[in-house]
Amino acid sequence: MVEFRLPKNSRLTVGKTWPRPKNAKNVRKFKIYRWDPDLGKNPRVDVYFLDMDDCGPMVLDALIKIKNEIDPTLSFRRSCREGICGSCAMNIGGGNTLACIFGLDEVKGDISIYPLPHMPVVKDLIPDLTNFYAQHASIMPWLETKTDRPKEEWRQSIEDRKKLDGLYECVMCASCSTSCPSYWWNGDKYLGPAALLHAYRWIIDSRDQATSERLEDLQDPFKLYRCHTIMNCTKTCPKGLNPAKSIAEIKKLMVEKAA
Amino acid sequence: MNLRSLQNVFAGLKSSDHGLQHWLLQKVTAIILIPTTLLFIYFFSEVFGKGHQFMAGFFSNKVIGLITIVFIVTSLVHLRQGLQVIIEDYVHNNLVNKFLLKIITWSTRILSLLSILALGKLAFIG
Repeated sequence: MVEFRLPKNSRLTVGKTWPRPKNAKNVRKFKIYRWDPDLGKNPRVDVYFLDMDDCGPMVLDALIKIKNEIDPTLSFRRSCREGICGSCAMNIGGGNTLACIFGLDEVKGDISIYPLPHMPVVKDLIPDLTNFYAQHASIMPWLETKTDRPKEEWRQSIEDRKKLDGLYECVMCASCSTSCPSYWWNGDKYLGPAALLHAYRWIIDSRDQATSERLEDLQDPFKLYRCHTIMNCTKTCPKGLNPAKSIAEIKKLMVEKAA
Repeated sequence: MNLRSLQNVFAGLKSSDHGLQHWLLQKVTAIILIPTTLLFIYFFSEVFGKGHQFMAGFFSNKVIGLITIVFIVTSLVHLRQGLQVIIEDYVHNNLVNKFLLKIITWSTRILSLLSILALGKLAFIG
């Protein structure tokens, strides 16, 4: 049965409040989820204060400043700092997004930062994405061909290439999948919006020769049809993509194939 | 939990080869319900408070009777499909899940049959 309360060892407690910066006029408050598996304690919410006149404009800038200057034990993933690698996805101000391209001015009042929802936590803001990556691997995210390899490259018309726009840009940050209630309740069986967007990206690739097999593999009440068009995925995608539309297109192709 | 073992799980997770039928039936019944619900509301407003004799005469009209049966059966099929999704979403205990699915399947079937019999009696016997 779905659990409406967190298990006892996952319930949040009040954490440490770090001192405010001295002589700062433009101060903002950050409430950040903290959990260290080595401590064996419940997760807590630590409170930090930052001088905004001495901080970069993005949430990632603030996190790096906290780690560098206040609390070096704070853990989070980050790499490219420009929305390309998808490492720094987290729940900021109640929505999933990338900390590196989400401006501090986009949140009013205190800034709450939590790990991606409904995922096992490795430490602090780092979720365990093992299941997520395995689901991605299951949709065969590569070109499947049956004919002989051409002498040069697999060619594609400009029109066919355009069909991949809005799909190939996905950086696999998991913001969409972890915002989906269907994925929360059935994440072990439902592939989730990110994996399905990638599945569609290969289904409509004119060079791919396994379209039928790909569609047959998704013919399942859980893998694909657990999407109830809630649209949280599209609303939250930090890259502005539309996974819900991709899922709808796969459903349409399923009907066409059956007909 | 490691990536290799999970990849094997998903690679071995065969398609159950159904899902489209359920999804399609839910969409088709939803579309049928748009006009039939509006017509049923109209029928109901026509017979409301006008007595048993009038109602029997009203539903003995073949077109009205047929639309009413289509509305009732389609509503119950749609209800069953919707409840099935809710149960599959939220009830993860296999035994309870199967038990609830059996209950909704049989109750909607029995309700459909009873509704058709009741309407038939009203139209043909009075």
